[in-house]
Amino acid sequence: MTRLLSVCTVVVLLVVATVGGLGHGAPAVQRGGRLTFALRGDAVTLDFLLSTSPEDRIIYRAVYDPLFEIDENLNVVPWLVERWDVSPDGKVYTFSLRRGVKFHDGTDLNAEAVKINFDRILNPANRSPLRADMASVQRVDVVDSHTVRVALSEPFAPFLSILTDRNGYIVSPAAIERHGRDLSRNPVGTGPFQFVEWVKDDRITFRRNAAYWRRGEPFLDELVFRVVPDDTVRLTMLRTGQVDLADWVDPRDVRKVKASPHLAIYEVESFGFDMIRLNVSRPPFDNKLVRQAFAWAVDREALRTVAYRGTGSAAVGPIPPRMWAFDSALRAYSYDPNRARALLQQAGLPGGVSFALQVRNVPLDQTRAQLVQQQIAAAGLRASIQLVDIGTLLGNLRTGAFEASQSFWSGRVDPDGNMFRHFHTSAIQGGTNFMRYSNAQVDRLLDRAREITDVNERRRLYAEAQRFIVDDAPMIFTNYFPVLKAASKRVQGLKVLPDPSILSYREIWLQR
Amino acid sequence: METTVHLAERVARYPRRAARASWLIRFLRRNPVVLAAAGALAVITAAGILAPHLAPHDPAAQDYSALLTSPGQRHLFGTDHLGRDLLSRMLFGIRVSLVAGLASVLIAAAVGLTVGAVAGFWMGWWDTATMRVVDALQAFPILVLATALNAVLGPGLGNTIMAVGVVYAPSFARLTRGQVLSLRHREFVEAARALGMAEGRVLVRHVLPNILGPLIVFASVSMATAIQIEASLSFLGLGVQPPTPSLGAMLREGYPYLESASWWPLLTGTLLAGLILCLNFFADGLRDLLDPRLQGRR
Repeated sequence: MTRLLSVCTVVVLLVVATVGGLGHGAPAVQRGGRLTFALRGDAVTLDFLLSTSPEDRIIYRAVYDPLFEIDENLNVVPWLVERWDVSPDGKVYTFSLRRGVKFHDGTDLNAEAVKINFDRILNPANRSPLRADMASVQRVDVVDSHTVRVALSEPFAPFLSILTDRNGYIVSPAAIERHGRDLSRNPVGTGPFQFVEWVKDDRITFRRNAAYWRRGEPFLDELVFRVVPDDTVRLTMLRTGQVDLADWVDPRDVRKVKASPHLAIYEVESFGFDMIRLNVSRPPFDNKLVRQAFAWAVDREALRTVAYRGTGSAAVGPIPPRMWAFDSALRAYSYDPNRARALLQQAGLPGGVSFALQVRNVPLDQTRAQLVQQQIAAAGLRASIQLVDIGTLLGNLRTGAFEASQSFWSGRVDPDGNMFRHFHTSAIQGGTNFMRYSNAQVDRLLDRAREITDVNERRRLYAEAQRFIVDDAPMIFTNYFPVLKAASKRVQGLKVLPDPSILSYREIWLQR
Repeated sequence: METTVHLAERVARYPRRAARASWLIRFLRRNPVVLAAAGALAVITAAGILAPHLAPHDPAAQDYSALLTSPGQRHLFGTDHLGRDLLSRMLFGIRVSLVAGLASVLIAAAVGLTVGAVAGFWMGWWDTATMRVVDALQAFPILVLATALNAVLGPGLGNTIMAVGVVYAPSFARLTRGQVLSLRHREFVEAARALGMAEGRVLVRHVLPNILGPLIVFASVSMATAIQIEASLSFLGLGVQPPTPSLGAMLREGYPYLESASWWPLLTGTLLAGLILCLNFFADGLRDLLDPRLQGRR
């Protein structure tokens, strides 16, 4: 009897344990397998030194580790750097590097490697677009084998956040030496995956870095990026199982993904915004009244419901609600065509104005442009849409060969990345101030916000700068768009951040 | 297509006006497909010409309260993702297709005819030079060349028409040259020369009228492909710019909705395919009609 009782007890305990085990806790990680990720476009270069493309950024996280990382709560945390220190005046940073980290070619990550990487960006002969963000870096010194000291000319608040991206990646100095220019096709980093091959306009393949410094990670054996420019094709490939993860889901397809039992949609508020740049250096938008008329004539709520199918929100300025610097008191433009018409009258243009609106030749952008076109026409702003490819669009922005140009900004973790490069006078040359906008007060505020680290004071400065920018209206802010990615439900451990181009591949695993 | 017929032979073979009409009717009765195609073309063309009067709505007017509504009473062919009436857009789209097809073929024919006739009639360095250019242009696949040209010229209907015209001009030049070449030493041409007629006059009065048949047939075939190319270029965003409706652009905007709003891409695609098919059947019939050798058999 006692024996029977004890057997029963054991059986009951076992059952409870099993059921409890099934019901609680995260499912155990399964290792191995290949993840295929469909991107909108091919990489331009696998050497971040000369990169400006968003697709490049998505791929870099597989092969390179940054000095600092953004965690799930959007804090900047040390990564290849183990500890860091900044002098009281905010001008000297000391980085202690993690020990035992090796590049894929077997060489060590050390202070010398970091210095070589920084100097490579800073060397004017290399013409790196990353240099603009590092303008305040004066010198980089090796203190000992794993300690680097960086001296800045003035305090630069966004410095660490900039090192979470292209500026903070470290490529093997031995590979720089060996490959030279061909580094763009032979990336060698310390990241979770090791480069295998790049078939232009088709795929880029990586395999697991068995010697990754985070023991046990990554979980996947292979990571493949496929180039699939068409939204519909990308989604179809996901639905038929040819790929496991799809970038940039068109908002119109969100319902379709949600309806599928095998797919999951990842929707995250972004740091970015949709906008229309107005060229303030030539008519008709050299007139502030005309620009303000444009801003009043856009029905942002209709854009949100029709183009974005109710996702995202109406934009008020360059700092979206997701950011700590968001200013809820910012007076924004609402939809008021009468007011727009009155402003045109005031500008001495009762008959309205005609201009060309350059638009990237992709479905969502065409939809956005056609909606705006009809909305502003009611106020007397006659836009003719010009569909162009992304290369032409960017080229015309650079040379100033445009009147109005529709685009978006993917956003950065520090508000400086959404402000300085677009609105500071110095960013007309070498930045993305394609509007040729210049306002001395905005310059002063943005400069000051870079120099101090006090978050509340910076928030106040950005709020003030935004008021000037919104009033001057060199850029029409239309929507805060969500980051939308779709994945097979097999994909586990995927974290989508407000920055659409940053994914931590090391944590992803596939359920079998 | 090698219609090289002496003027006198033609006169002898062609029936007189009254007889010609009844012969045409007989031809159409024997070729019901051609008849149907011609009828459908007439309807489509009339719909395109009368689009402003027939369209129930403004083709560019958006209606946020009627996005992607299925075909019904208010919108016979439904609406698109911006709430625009698809029937109205298709009617105006036909216009764009027809204008693009006709204008580009006219440009191609005008350029090709001039270049080819001069080359074939006088030969010499002009012939050598132009025919090498023609060779070079014909070495490219038509759609690739048209896309490249359109991309260089910039987007817009005018530029698309130019691009398609340039792409087709070499074929017209080649055809014209061959035809002229085969006629330039025929007796009736020599006779005209012997009578003291100036060379230019001989070309215009005696040679050109005799090669019109094959040129008309070729033009009608080309028009079908020209419409197709215009649609392809608009599909790629190079042709007509939004919000002007074009069948190609409507397909581009509509095909992602194949599952959720299938009427949109299907109706647009059917209309475009139907238009091109009708033109091809019609051109086929025209060839039979104008080919003297086939006439003999009927």
